[in-house]
Amino acid sequence: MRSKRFAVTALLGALLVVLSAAPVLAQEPTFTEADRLLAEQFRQELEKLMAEGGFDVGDIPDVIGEKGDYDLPAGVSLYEGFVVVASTSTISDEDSSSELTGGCFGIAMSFAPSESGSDWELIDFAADFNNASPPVDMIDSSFTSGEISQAFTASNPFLVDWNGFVAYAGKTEPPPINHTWYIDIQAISLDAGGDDNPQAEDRNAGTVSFENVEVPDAVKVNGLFYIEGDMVADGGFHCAGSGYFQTQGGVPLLGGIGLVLVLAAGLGATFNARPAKTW
Amino acid sequence: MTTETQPKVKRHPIRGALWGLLGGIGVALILINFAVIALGTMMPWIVIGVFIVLGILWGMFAPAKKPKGDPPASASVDDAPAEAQPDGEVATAPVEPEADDTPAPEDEPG
Repeated sequence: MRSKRFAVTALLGALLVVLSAAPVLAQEPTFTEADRLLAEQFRQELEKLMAEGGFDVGDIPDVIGEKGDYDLPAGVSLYEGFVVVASTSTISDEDSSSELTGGCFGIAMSFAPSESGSDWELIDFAADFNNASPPVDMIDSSFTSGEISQAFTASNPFLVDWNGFVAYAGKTEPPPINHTWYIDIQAISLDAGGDDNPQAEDRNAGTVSFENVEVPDAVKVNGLFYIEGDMVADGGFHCAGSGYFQTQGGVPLLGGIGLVLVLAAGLGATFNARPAKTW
Repeated sequence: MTTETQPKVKRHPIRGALWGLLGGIGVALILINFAVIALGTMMPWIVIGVFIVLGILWGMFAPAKKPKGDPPASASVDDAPAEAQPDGEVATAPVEPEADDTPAPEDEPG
């Protein structure tokens, strides 16, 4: 158990180091105390959710990827594959539909209940650790061939399950002092906030459990969405991102409402809007 | 001049636009549900716009329903111009009655 926990901490810490140290990825990464704290915070959040879901926290490495998973050569850890991706590959056919620019880096891991319902399954894993490249899909990318798949695009949206959760860790360079941020869909604000950030914190990690989001079930609809986000801070700090995500595990309400509207419109057009001869 | 009454065609572009709007919203929601287009992009608006145009075209140029009832015995139709209706609909000049003179079927539901 202890070795597994260490492995998780090391893996996550290493991922975060990769996120924040793209120019020196080919070198052996070094851990700072802040990296360790962030990794620990991330691990604790993940373990808490796993425990709430009845999942043996000792098996977290199995969930986030054992050696050999995701098209890695046998014996190569996710972290090692990550370094290979970051240091040797770029997305050749870049899709403008997703981007993360400015001094923001991060990873996001999306989990859904497994078929048995007793544990969690990793359904998507995206990361952006290079200012010059858009987010990378860590599951779809082939680490061995260097064929990298872009994440958050219209054709490869980030999957989110309404019964699952997303674990995230992020870092900014430099620390965003006195920052404000927002996330929009079609200019409608989903969320917004800000902070003076007097401690000059530059990292954050945690989880968002959609199962516990306090919204009516009817709002948890399946669909494809395009979101835009932005963060500005003192000193000219500006970080912007945009991309597609797709929800699953919710109710097909949009399709149902759409079908009713289409039927109503068809009847209306046929019997009410059609030209008519009159005397 | 008094002559045999001929039917006018009453067109419904505004009704067509409204039903097209409704249908466009419905189709857009279905496409969003099946991840064909995304909410937050221009595509849903384009779909809705296309259906509004289709609705207007339908309200203007779809095959006209036959008139209800029998024509009045006679009426003056001297160069009757198109006239705007209170609800924005357009009644155009008389058209030649169709060769098929069978009674008009009931198109209205119910």
